[in-house]
Amino acid sequence: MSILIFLSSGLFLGWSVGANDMGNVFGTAVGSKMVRFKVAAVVASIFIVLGCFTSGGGATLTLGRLGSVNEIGGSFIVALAAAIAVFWMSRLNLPVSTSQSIVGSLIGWNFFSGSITDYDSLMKIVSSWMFAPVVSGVVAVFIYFLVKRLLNRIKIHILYLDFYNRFGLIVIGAFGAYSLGANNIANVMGVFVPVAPFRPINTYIGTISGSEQLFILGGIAMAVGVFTYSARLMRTVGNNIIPLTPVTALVVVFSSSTVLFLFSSQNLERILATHGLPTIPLVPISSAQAVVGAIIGIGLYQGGGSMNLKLLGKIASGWVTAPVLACVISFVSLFIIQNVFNQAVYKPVRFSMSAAVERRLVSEGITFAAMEQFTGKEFRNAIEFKKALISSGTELDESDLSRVVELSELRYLIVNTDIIEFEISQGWFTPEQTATLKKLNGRNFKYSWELRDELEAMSPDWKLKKDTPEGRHINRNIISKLDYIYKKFWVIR
Amino acid sequence: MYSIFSATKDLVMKIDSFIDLVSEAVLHFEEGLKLYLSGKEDEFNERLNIIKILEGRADNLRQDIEAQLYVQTLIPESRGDVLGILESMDDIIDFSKSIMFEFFVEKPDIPAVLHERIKKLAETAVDSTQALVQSTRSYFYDVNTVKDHLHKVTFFENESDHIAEKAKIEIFNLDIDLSRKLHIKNFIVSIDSISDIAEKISNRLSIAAMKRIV
Repeated sequence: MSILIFLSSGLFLGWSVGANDMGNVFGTAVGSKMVRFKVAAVVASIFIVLGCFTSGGGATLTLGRLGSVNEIGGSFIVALAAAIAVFWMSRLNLPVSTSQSIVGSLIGWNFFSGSITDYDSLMKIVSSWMFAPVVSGVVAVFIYFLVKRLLNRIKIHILYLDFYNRFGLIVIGAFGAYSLGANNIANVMGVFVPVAPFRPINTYIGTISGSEQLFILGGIAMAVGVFTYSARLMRTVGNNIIPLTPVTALVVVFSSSTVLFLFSSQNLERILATHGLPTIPLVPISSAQAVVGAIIGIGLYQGGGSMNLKLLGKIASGWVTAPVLACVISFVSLFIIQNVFNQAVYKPVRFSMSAAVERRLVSEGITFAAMEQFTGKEFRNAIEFKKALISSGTELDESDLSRVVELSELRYLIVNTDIIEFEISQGWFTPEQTATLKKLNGRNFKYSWELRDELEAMSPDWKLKKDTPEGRHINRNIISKLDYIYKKFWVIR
Repeated sequence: MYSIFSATKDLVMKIDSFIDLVSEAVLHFEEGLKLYLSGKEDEFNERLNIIKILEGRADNLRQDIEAQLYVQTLIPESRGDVLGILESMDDIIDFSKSIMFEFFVEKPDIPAVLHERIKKLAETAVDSTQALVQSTRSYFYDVNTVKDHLHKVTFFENESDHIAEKAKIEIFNLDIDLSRKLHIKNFIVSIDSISDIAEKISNRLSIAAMKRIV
């Protein structure tokens, strides 16, 4: 029963994603009256569910962004807070980034649980507010210029142009909906996969596993969001910033999807790397900001006179408000849930610099004068430990300081592959990785890095590769699996 | 998808046929008028019948186009302009037919000395309409060339006004009854109005074309 309650916040988040993000995908098509809302909603729903269903069930997926939250009660609140923030913005007809709202919500959890926030992810969000609109705007203007020249050169009947335009808007919209489903299902349903209460269903086309049913459910939640709440937001994106003609509508969606694909696709980076081609540096871009940026770019190119600056100001403030709001809601709700409803929202993590940690730090070349004074001492959370380190007057820089905290995190682990039987049966781990884990069955570790060192020493499948674009992809996969098993093998003492 | 494409293809053909009908109808008008002035009443009546048939076909086509554009929500940003232009072009056929019908009913007695002038007036009115037909086709196929034809419409409209003025002066210098003078003048004004309608449509077309140039 409780799982269903927890699931409800994931479904609410799914609904919010559908309601808000679909404005970016089909907004220009519907706003320019090229595609009817009903058609857009049906196409979007089908492709969202397809995206959710076919995106697979790897360990990376189950983690999503909420993976760092170590209690299901916490995941519930983090998802709920992000969903409320996104829903609020949808009510105000402002397109925002769901991923950024989730990060905001996670920061709220970090504050509450005393975990250290990764300031890189914060900086990524802030830079995305400026970077995404600029890049997308420039690309949109370039594509607009090309399209304009092309249309002046070729003689095409207004109705054929209309047909191809409409076709393009629907196809790009369908791709957008597919990737929306595939990218967000991890956030919406990921944390619930290992605890899904669904049994496999046999159908004519094959068996639908419990996790797949969960993904379909998440997809349906998004589709319901599209049908029930995305219409007004579509009009805001599609016609209220500048009046869009069908051609500009297509240019906007095409250029924003191109920007998203070129600058934030890990798959593209991997494909280019495997073919020995130079890769494009990955930068954080969200679809909400890419689409709005493209519209602004074209608006400025056309002279800027028809731009609704007041609305633009509101949209930009929404980008800032959504994550901040999610953070506040998350923090307050966690407090209430823990203290009023007596639910665990995080597992306390303690920090202690043992002799082993000290040796490891020295081997990495990190030393400081007051090191001995910390040996054997235990701290209640990361923030307390970091404060103590700073007040002891260490000369360590920020990255070394973070490394000291990271290595000192006490995480009692007992390897027990029975707990991850489901994940093994789903093929989330390579046979070699599974065999290595099985060899370690029953072993205890005090720190997560000890388990990682052990695994690395035993199997190349667990060893991180060099930091090349190709290696980075493999490393992301290994790190997400490691994070997952740290979470599963963790025992509280 | 194929059926939507073939529906689009069908609509393109209907619009092309409609524009052809306008062009054809005014040519029949010109020929009919010439036949009337040469005293070939039977042949004139044939032309009147043809133009009546063309008018009916144009009306049906226009209604079909209108319905299809609305039902399939095609060209949302230009639909109003396209329908407005097609409706106004339909007026040219209607107006040409009604002038011929007036000739048929009222049988104006036009002195021979005015025949060449009136023929020239009809030719100029038809020329302005043909220039409009060309610019309308350009609007659909190659919007950037619309203005290349539109200036011709204005030119022929001015020419038509000029010829009509001369014709009116000539009529009132003739030694005939005032009632006959007024009767003939009315026909001249009517024929001249065809190029006025063409010019009005061309103004609308010019704005619509500017809107379409992305």
